[in-house]
Amino acid sequence: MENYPFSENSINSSIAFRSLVNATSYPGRTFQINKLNKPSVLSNAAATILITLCDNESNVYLSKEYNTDEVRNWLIFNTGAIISNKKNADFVIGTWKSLLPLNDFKIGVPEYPERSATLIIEETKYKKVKCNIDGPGIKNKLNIDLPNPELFIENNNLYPLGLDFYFTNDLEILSIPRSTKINIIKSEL
Amino acid sequence: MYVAVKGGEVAIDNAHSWMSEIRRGDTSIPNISLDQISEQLTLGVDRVMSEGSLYDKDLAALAIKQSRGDLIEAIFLLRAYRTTLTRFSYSKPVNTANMTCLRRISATFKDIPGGQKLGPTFDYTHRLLDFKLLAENEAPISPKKKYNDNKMPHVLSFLNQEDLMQNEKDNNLDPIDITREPISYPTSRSARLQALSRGDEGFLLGLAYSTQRGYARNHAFVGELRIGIVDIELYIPELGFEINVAEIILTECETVNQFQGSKIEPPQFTRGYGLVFGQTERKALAMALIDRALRWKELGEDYSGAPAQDEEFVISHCDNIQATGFLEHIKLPHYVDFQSELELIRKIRADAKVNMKR
Amino acid sequence: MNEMSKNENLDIQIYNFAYLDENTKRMIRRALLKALCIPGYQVPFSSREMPMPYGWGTGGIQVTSACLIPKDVLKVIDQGADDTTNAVSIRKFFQKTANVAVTEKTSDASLIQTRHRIPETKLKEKQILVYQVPIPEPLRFLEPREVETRKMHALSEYGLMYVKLYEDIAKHGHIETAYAYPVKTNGNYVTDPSPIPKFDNPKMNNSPAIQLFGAGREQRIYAIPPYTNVKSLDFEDYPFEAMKANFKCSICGSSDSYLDEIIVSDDGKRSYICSDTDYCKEQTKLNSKKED
Ligand SMILES: [Zn+2]
Repeated sequence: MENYPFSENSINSSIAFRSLVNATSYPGRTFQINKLNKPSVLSNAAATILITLCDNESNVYLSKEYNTDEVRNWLIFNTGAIISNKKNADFVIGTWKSLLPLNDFKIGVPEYPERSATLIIEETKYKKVKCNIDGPGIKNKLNIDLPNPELFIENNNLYPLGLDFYFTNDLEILSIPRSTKINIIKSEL
Repeated sequence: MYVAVKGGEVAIDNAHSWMSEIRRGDTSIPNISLDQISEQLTLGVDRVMSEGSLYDKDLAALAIKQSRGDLIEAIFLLRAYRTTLTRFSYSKPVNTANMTCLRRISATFKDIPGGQKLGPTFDYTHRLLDFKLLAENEAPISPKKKYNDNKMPHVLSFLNQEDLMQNEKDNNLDPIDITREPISYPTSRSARLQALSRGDEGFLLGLAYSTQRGYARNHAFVGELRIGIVDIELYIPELGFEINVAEIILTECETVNQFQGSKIEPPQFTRGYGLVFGQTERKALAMALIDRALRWKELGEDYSGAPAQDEEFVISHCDNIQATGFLEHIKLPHYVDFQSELELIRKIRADAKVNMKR
Repeated sequence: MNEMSKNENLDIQIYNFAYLDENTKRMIRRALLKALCIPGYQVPFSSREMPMPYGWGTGGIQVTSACLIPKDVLKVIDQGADDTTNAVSIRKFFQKTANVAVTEKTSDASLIQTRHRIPETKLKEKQILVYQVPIPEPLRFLEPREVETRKMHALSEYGLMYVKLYEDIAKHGHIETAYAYPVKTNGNYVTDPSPIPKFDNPKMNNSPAIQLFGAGREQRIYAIPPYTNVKSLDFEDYPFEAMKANFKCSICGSSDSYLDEIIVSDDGKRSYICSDTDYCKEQTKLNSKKED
C-alpha cells in the first residue's frame, strides 16, 4: 500500500484539492501541499496536482525532462491518464523553458473557454521579471516575479480564452489563471 | 460545535417512519417478496431497469417494493444506486441479429425467414378483467414449444440487399455516454439514442403519437419488432478473447420510413431505431418514431417546428428523474423569493396608485 | 426503525468519503478549478444522480462533496435558516458520509451550503460558500435554447437582457425581478446569482470568500472567486436598488437584515423576523449583553 501516492486516497485528495481551490481563488499567493509518494523528478506539488485531477479522460503532456518511464508508468498506473502531444493536452508539466513557445497549447473556444490546457510549471532558475498583478482573487495589487511576463499579458488578452498556470516548487503552489492582469514593473533585473 | 436538532429533523424522522409503516400496509397480509415482484410484475421491473439504466431484476424489484409501486420513484432509487457503481469496463456491442427471440414480428412482410413469432403479448387479448386470477393457485401452462433454432436475420437486411434501405454507416467512433459527459447541443445520434432509451415512457409515447398525428409525420411502418435474449460479451485483454458475462433481454424496433430523396439521392427507405432493456415494446416503438423524427437535418428534410423534431426540447425534457425532481422541488420552501416578490408588487402597486390619483 | 439504523451504518462503510467516488470527484474538481479561472462562466459537468431528487440541491451537494475535507466545519442553510427541512436533510447526509463537524454559526463555518440566501454575517477569506442553483442560465427565460444562449455568452451579446429590463421599467417604472437578479461577473459574463433576493446581490461583490455554484440537473458549475467585481445589471438613470421589507425584526430588532413576513393571527396580522436565523440569534445575544 505504501507505494500508492496517497496513504488515504479520498482524505488526502480532498486536502490536496482544497489547496488547489485556495491557490486558484487567490492568485499570486503561495499555498502548501503535503508530501506524497511520487517519482523523484516530480515535485510534491506538481505530482499532487496530477494525482488529484487526472483520470482516464485526461490528456497529459510531459516535457522532455519529465517524459521518463518512471513518470509515465506512475501517472498511467495511478490515474489512467493518456500521455499526449502539446495540442491535445489538458494538463501540461514541464520547466518554463522546455514548454516555450506556448502557442501550441489549447486555449479553449468562445463557446467552451474551459476546454483549455492547465500548465504546471516546475520551479527552476530562469530569468524573472518584477511584476504587479491584479484581477479576480487579488485583494490589493500583489508584487510577484514572473518569467517572460509578456507571455502572461498576451494570455490575459485572450480572456475569457487562455491558459491557466500553476507554479510548483517542492511543497508550494501558486497560481496565475488567465484572468490575472500583469503589469511589468521593471523589464530587466 | 453542536448538532442541530430542531423541529425540522424530528418532522423528517416521523414522516419517514410513518411512510415505512404505510408501505408495509396491513401486517396480517403476507409481505410481498422480491421474487414475487420480479416473477409476476415483470413488465414493471423491465421499465424500472430500462429507465433506471441498470439491468438487475432483483434490485429493480427491491426498488419497486420500497417505492410502494411508484415506478418513477423506483427508477430514481436505481439511478442513485447506479451512480455509486464503479465502471470496470465496456462490453462489446451486443449483436441483436443473434437474439434468441421470444417475439419477433414484422408489419411490412407477411412471411420472413425465421418466421413471424407472436410470443408473449397482450396484442389480440380481449381487455376483459380475468376473474380467474382471483384464485390463489392459478398456474397457467402454455402448451406450445417456445423456442426454436430458427435463424432470425433482421428483416430490414433484406431491404438493404436491394439498396432500398438507407445504409447505416459505421462512423467508427465510440458512442457517447451521456452519463459520463454532459450533453452539448447539437448532439450525436448515439447520445440521442441513449437519452431516449433511458427516457420516460410516457413522454416518449406522447411525442411519438404526435408524429403520427401530423406533427412531423414520417410514415413509419414496423419493419421489425423483436424481443429476446442476447449475450453480453466482454473482451479480456489478458485472455486475448471475449467471454460471455451475462444474458439480458432486450426489445429492438426498426421502423421503415419513407424518404423522398433529394437532387443527389434517389428515394430510399430510412430507419428509426429503438432499443430498450427488457420487454418494453411500447417504449421501443416510441423511441424508433422519435429517433426518425429527430433525423430530419441529417436526411435533409424540412423542419416543421414539431416538438418531436426539436432535439434540444426532446432530449432535455425526456428524463423523468430530472423532470420529477425539478417539478417537485417547488414544494420546498420559497419564503425568501416569495417575500421579495411581495415587496416588489406592493411597491409597484403603491406607485401605481399615486400615479392614478394624479 | 432498527432496520433503518442498521442501513445507515452500512452506508458509511460502502460509500467513499463525502459519498462521491474519487473519479466523479476528479471530474467535478477539474470543472471547479476551470470555473474559478473563468469567473461567471458556466462549465458543463457530467452531473451524477444523487440520492436526493434533482431540484433539491444536487448540484450544491456534488460541489460540497468534491470540496469537503475532514477538518471542515459545515453549515447548511435553506431560506437563511439552519432548521428548514431540506437543510437538515443535506446536513445529515454529510454528517453521515463525511463525518464532518457542523455548526449554525456563520463565523465558525469553513464551508457553507446555501439555498436562496447569503448569510448576513460578513464572510471571511477561505470560507467557501456553495450555492444550490436551479436554472444557472440567466438568459434561459429570454431564450430557452442552450445553443443560442451559449452563443450569446460567447459574443457577450446581452442586448436581449437589457431590453427585457428596460421594458419592465417602461411598463411598471421598476425592474420586475425581485430575486435571481442577474449580475455581471468580472465585467464579462452575465451570471445567475441563484434565486437569492436581490437584497443579497451586493454581498457577492468583492467578497473575501470563495463562491461556488452547482446546478445538478442542468449540469453546470460556475464560480465567483474572492475579490471579484460583481455588478447587478442596471441603467444609469435606474440604478440597481437592494430591497427589503421596511420593518424591524420582531425578535432581535435588527433593521438591516433581510426579513421574512409571517402571518401571526387569523385576521391576517403580519410580523417580520430575520430570515437568517444565526444572525438573529447573534443580534439577540448582543442586545442582552448591552442591557447588562
Ligand atoms: Zn432578527
